[in-house]
Amino acid sequence: MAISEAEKLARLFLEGNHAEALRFIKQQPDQNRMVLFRDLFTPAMYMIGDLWENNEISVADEHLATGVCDFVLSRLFQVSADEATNKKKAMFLCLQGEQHYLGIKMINSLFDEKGWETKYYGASLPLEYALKSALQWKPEVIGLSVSIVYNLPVLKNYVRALAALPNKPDILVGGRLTEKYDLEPYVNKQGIIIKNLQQVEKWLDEYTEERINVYK
Amino acid sequence: MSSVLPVPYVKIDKQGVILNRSAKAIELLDLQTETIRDCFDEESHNKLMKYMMPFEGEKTFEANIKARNHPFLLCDISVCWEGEFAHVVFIPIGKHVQGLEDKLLELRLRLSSTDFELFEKKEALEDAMKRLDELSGPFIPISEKMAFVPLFGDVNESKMITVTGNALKAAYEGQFEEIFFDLSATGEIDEGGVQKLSELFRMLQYMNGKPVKIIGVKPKHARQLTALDVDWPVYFETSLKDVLIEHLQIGKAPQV
Repeated sequence: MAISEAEKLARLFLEGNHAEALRFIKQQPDQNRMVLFRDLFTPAMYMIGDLWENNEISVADEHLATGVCDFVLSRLFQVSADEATNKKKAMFLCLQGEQHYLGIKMINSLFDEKGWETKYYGASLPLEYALKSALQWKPEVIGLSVSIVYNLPVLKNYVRALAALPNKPDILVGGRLTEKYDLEPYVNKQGIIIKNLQQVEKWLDEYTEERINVYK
Repeated sequence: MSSVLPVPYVKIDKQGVILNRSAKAIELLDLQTETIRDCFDEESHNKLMKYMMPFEGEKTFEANIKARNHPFLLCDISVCWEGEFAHVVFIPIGKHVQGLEDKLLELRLRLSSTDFELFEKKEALEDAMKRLDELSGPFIPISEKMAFVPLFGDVNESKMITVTGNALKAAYEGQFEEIFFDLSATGEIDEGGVQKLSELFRMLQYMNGKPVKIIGVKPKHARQLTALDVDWPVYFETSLKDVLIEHLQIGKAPQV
């Protein structure tokens, strides 16, 4: 049986073969980040989750695959360093206790590709730190990620506190749970729920358009 | 009897109702657990159902359970069916994975602070160093039967590993009767270098059936080469010039 490209990538991650995984991604005909994330990285990591469900791999294997995937993402999609003053700003973080950070890392990278200045805080950022840095840096957008039900209760506080910042940032909420459950009660109309990569892209395009219209 | 088992253990029936539990299980599990389902994190329920079926045989799998002091705790779960009942043992593996997680976290921090441009420069530099090593011990066939390997610069372990690979390949492909190593252009030889050098000479001797010859040995090399008490499987000759004269004369008709 022929194996899909995403499955090939999943296998390389599980083998810990970062060099081969890098080469594999570089050889893809379409180097658009969105396409790579949507068609390869995300399905590969979901497959690894399924393998655990089927008792074919252990949590230790999953951790290794996560580490390799993280390395490959960091290596291929470096966030650009130039800090032009007129760039729009966005910051990304996982809720306190949340360790599933690969998704939001990819979102961060998409924003970067679209010319935003971004700050990526990765896994488990306590609300007080998030507030403090958002207050200083004044991002237009703050992206939150949550993947474990147990971490859900604090989402409400995050959204409420961050949406109330003086510069009124847009709050985006994403992560695996957004597709499984209706998170609206937690977000309470103060944030935008993003279910997948395509929705981010759509939102980004609309946001840019609105901006252009405002300045016309 | 089962209550004194030194591991968290429960006995359940086919409905999943817990009939019996060991003291360790009481210590580990949430207080409100009545069925086996109650013991597991919601997201592990699928896995639980899958591996409880078909109510016979033995199974082992990983799943998250609801522990008394932790909402989800990773455990190895072993299930063994005995007629109408199953014996279930929970072994928390959080501690083993904890070390791994810490390592991963460390890597992640390292990753976020890594300047990849520098990292790539370093990789390019390493490639250049390897290339330099390759060029520091070229294997030169002088005639069909004679090969010459000058060693340039300081001889250390990493350089010798590179030189060894190339020399063995070339020696295998050619049919050389005599291989000369020239130390005239060699700087310092460190311990690792001496070690690898002697290994290479020994391998070449086995391949050729004849010891290699070393020329151009300076006094300081002699000291460095003997420092490790290696039994050198080689002949020493004085200089390339002498060797060549000797070999050329052999090829010539005798002088009258």
